[in-house]
Formats: sequence, structure tokens, C-alpha cells
Amino acid sequence: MLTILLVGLLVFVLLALTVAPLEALGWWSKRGAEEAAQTVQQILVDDDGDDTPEPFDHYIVYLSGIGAIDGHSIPPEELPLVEALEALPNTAVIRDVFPYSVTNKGLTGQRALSWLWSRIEKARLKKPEALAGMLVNARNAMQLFVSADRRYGPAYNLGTAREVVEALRRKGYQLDGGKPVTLIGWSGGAQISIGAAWYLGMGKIPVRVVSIGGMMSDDPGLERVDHLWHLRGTKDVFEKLGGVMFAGRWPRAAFSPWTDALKEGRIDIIDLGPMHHNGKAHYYDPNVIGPDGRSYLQVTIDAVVAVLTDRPVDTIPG
Amino acid sequence: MGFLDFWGAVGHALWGVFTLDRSTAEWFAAHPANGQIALTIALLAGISMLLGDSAVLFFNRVRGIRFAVSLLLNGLGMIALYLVQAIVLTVVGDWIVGHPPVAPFVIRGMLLSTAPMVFGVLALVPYFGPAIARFLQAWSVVALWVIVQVLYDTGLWRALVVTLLAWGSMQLMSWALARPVAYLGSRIFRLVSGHPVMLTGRDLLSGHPFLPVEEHPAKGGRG
Repeated sequence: MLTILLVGLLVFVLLALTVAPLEALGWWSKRGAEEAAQTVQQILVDDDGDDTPEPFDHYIVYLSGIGAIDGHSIPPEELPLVEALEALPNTAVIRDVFPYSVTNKGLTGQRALSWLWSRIEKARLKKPEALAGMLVNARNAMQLFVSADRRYGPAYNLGTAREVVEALRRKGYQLDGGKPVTLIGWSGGAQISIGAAWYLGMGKIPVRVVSIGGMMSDDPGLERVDHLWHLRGTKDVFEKLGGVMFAGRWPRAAFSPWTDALKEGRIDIIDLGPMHHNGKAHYYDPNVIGPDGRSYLQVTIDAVVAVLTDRPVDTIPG
Repeated sequence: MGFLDFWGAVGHALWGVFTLDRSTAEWFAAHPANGQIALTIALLAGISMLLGDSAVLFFNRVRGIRFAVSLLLNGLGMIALYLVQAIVLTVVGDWIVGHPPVAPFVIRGMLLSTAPMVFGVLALVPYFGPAIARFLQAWSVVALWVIVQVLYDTGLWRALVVTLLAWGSMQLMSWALARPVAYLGSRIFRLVSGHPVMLTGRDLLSGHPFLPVEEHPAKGGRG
């Protein structure tokens, strides 16, 4: 009986993985190429003739973890970090990009399975640890691999870069102005960030990335990232898995944009403390207190704010 | 033979090849519908493989009837390659082992060896797909090795030499014809669609990032 269940689960996972790229491929096939062309034209523009001053000096795009269900509902545990970012002076924070869809369409939006995702979301709101909620994580994790794939990634990442550009422009960002843009990616959001950076960084946008427990590949987008801060917990199994699963991140891997960025000093890897990826004692846990009296959530917030304001990061020792 | 019996036999043959079970060969040789079984397996494998490789069609925005025609043309190309492999197997086998096999059995054996490729659609799996495809190819070659042992009633090493020569010829032909076929395909694509192929299978598998946008060939291109 157990064998049948396990085989059934394996078949289900393989089928789900097989159809995972279809959303991005379908988008590209139907209208992605035209939309992408417009986006690329916008990014590559030298001078768009519009000299309206930008309302902010720094733009932050927050890309949520694989638990996100759409661009408008950041999981409650992540809100204190977003609020801390919004409190930074002269900084615009963009939080409505859903990184796990090339069209920024949330799971409960106009989709064939939106009824299922709505039910799962309701179940998750009632009981956050509900097993059904893991389906959201699994679905979004598969999109992470689509982004990391050398075949699908270019189209997928162009789609997410397009959504980021649209969101930046809604906040008054001038694509030819050279104001810094920082993508903050939690978990799978880190891979989506470096993937989108390949396109965002092709023009005049200086792109920086902050990864919080990011599960990232050696994405070519790293070549166009000015700096990457990879904040990780020493007990984060998923972050470690990223370093094992993506061969380009193995120590001294040849022809790897990750290795190149490390050599060029464009990646800082910072161990925050004994954080897990999820469950208890994770990066956003307000209830677990470190030896210095700060909660794990506060340690994460402090670290992100520190790297953004060019201050030393205060970590939990040991 | 009923419908369910036939598919049961196909399943049995598939399992025999998956597990590299030599005893399945006797059952298969005696089965009255062994030709149809082998053909069905090769057909399933072919469709699955082609779907696994269909990402390139999506990127070139091939849809509807053109999508189906492209898959069909690719399928015909694949059959041609396997036919070459069967011919080489017959000729080389006779030369190395010293006695010719029965031709229909060579073709059936060749078709059977494609069984692992029924999982070919898994090449679509993001990130791990190309590795899965290579694993399936290797599995298919090992299956062919076992089948050659049975076909020629010969030992492990002689069968290995025959298998590698046949498989190597197919690879060589595939490599040699890749460019002319891609050129021809591109010409046909331009004639039918009115615009050039943006991306080829070679591009897709090259591992280099590309900028799949028609309007900016000079600025974009390859990273």
C-alpha cells in the first residue's frame, strides 16, 4: 500500500514538474515576444526625453517566498520586514510583484485552478500549518526551477523583469535615470531576482540583490548584478540544498557566473545565526529570541536594513 | 486478442525492457502480436520524446496545425535515424558475431530498445530535464545491449561492441545531419511563417542565455 502511495506521489510530482514550464511557454508563444520587445526597448533607452524628477532616491522590489499566493497578499509573517523597508528615507518599496508568474497573475486570479487555490488559501488562513498549504509552496518552487532552467529561464525571467519594470514605472522610476534598484528575494524570490537581473541590468539600471535564505542557481543574471548579499541561517536546509543541487554553485565550479561573481567580490555571504528555512526558528520568527535579546525576525530586519544602509551586519554568534 | 490483452502485453514488454529482463525475450519472441507490440512501444516513445523536445516549438511560436506538423516531421527524422541504427546493427552484427540475425527481429528489437524513451516527455521538467533525457538515452543503449545479446545469442562483450557501433553510427549521422537539417527546417519555416526561426534546438541546449526578441538582434543576441 505504501509503495503504491509513494509511486503515485512520484508520478504526481513528475507530472506537475513536466507541466510547470507551460505557463511561461504559453505566455511567450501567445504574446510574450511582443511584450518582451517593448520591455527591452524601454530598458535599453538612452534618454526617453522625460526629465521629471524621480520622487525617490532608492527603489526596493520585495519578492516574496514560495508561500506567496499573489502579488497583493504578502504572508503576515513577512510584513514587519516590509514595513521596516518602507520606513527607510527616500525609498520606494514595491510589493505587488508576484514572482511565480510571468504575467503577475496570482494563483487565485483568472486561472483554471483558481477555485482550488482559493480553497487552499482559506484553509491556510484558518490553519497556517495545513498540509494543503504545502501545495502552494510546491507549485511556486517548480517555477523557481523554471527560472533557473537555461532553456525556459530566459523567457520566464524576461516576463518577471517586465513586471518589475512596470511596477517601477508606476512608482515614478525613470529607466534612464540610473537610480539604484534593490531586489529583495526571500527563498525562491532570490532566484527570481537574479534571473530578472539579467534583463534589468542590460540598460542603465544599477541592480543589487539581497537574498534571504535564497535558493539560487548560478544564474547568468549574476553577471549584471552590482552586488548580492546572501543572508542565510546556519540551520537552513533549503538554502544549503540550493548550493548542492545547482552544480554551478559548487566550490570552484568552472564557467559559473556564481564563481565569477564571488571572485570579483560581488557576493557577500552572511551567516545570520541558527535560523531554519521554515517551521520554527525561521528568519521571520518573532517568538524565538537570540542571546543578544533580539528575535530572529528582528535579526533579519536589522541585517537587511544594515546592508541597504551600508552598515555592518549584526548577526547571532555561534 | 482483445484491447486490454494487447495493452497488458505492451505493459509486460515495457516492464521487461525497463528491468533489462532477458527472460522476457522468450515470451516476446513467441507472442503472436510481437510486431505490433514493438511498434506501439516505439510510437509511444517517439511521441513522448517529441513532446519533451517541444519547448523549441513554443519559443518559435509554432502553434496549432504547424505544431503538429513539426512534431510529425521530427518524428519521421527520428524513425530514419533508428532505421540506420537497425541497418548498422545487422551488418556489424553479422561481421562480428559471425551469423546474421533474422531481419524482422532486428527491427523489433530496435523498436523495443526505445522503451525507456516513453518517459521522454520528462525532458520538459525544469532544470533537471536535460539530465533526465541523457539518463533515458543511456538506459535505452543498455536495453539495446541486452537485446543484442538475445538477438545474436552472443556474449556480453561482443554484444557491447555491436551495440556501440550501431548506436555510435546513429549519433554520428545525427551530428552530421544536424546543420543541413536545421538549415532546411529554417528555410521551410521561413516559407511557411514568413519570418525566420528565432531559436533552434541547438540554441536551446547550448546553455547560453539568449534574448529571444526579434526587434533587437544587434543589441541583444547572446550573452
